[in-house]
Amino acid sequence: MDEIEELEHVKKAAGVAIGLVSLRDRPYFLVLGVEEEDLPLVGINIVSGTAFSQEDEVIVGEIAAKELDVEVGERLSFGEEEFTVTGIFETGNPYFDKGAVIPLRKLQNMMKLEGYVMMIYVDLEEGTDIEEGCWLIEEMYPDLVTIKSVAEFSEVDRSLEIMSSLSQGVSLLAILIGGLGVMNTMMMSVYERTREIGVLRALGWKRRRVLAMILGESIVLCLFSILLGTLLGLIAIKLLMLSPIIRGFFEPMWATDIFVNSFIVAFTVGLIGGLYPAYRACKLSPAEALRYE
Amino acid sequence: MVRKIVDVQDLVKTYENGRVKALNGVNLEVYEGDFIAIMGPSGSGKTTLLNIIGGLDRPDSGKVIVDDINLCEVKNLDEFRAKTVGFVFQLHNLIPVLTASENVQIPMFEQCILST
Repeated sequence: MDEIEELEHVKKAAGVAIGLVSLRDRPYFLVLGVEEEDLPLVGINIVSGTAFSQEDEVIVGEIAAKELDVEVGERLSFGEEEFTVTGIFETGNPYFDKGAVIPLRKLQNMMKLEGYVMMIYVDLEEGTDIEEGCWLIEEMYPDLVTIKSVAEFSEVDRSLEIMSSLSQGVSLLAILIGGLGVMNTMMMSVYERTREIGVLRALGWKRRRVLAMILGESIVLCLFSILLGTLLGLIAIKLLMLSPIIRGFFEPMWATDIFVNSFIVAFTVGLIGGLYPAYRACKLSPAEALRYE
Repeated sequence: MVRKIVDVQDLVKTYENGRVKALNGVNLEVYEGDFIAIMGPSGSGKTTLLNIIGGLDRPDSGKVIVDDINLCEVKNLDEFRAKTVGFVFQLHNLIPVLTASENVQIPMFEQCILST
């Protein structure tokens, strides 16, 4: 820390430790360890009360304060440690605002990580090029990764990258299974109704009409599945949010584009899944279809 | 003069890449007012012959003329099946999800669609 502060163009550096503690019914609650004088540099703005000055004092994020229903002056227990709430803060980062901040050394003691920090916030001298500052630090300390804003955090955090890949993998798997499911259902429907298709063709139905019928059924099945899937998804999220562990880490997002994208993907998969059985059904000659047992 | 309704000449139809010969040079003439019964043991090709005359299947070679329509030259037999010929199957071949009345109505709807 001191070494970084001594670097050229660096005005001030602030170390931040991160820990997870148990709080009330939540097994995991995010706690940051920051020195009191470093709070502004870390972007922590006190919106109510004051910052902490003693080791047994804590400031709570705006969202956490609302969720836990705590006010200034109340007591909070992080595991076996008792703290007095001296203030409420906001950072603009929902993850931090769902947590609390205690003095750095106190958190290091609690986590048994004396002298360790997970992040260092650096304030550069005015007029310094940020890129140059980052380059200087990475040049001196190749083990460190610098970011220019909190938004870039996800780019350097491997765990977030892994989670994102995992989520994409699961989505891809869901699309594959969904597509195969629709295709299988439509194939079975076509197989079971081969004689019926034969009768319709014998009565003069054109190939394209049979194609339209099967595709139409596929689309209806798709739309119904999308509706049911969305409904089940919403219920599953509501149920998951009842768990304090999940609620402590995740917050559901109800963005329109997620629903629109899911609709487009599910509809396209369903349509493609229905195409092959439809093509197969309309290629059958009436006599062939009527012979089918 | 009595009109020729069905004229079948040298009809050949095989299955399984030519290994099974269902019809081998069949000739048949049916005139208006005729009452015809085609008889033969199982597998002799009765259904195949009727399927081809009814426009449900196509022959490998030969000529089939029904009501002055050469079926071998018609690219799409859908309209022929809907408008010209009625076929009573050996098995009922009803559509199970429809009622008896609806089953009977299907060809009529088809006629309406084709005539509009």
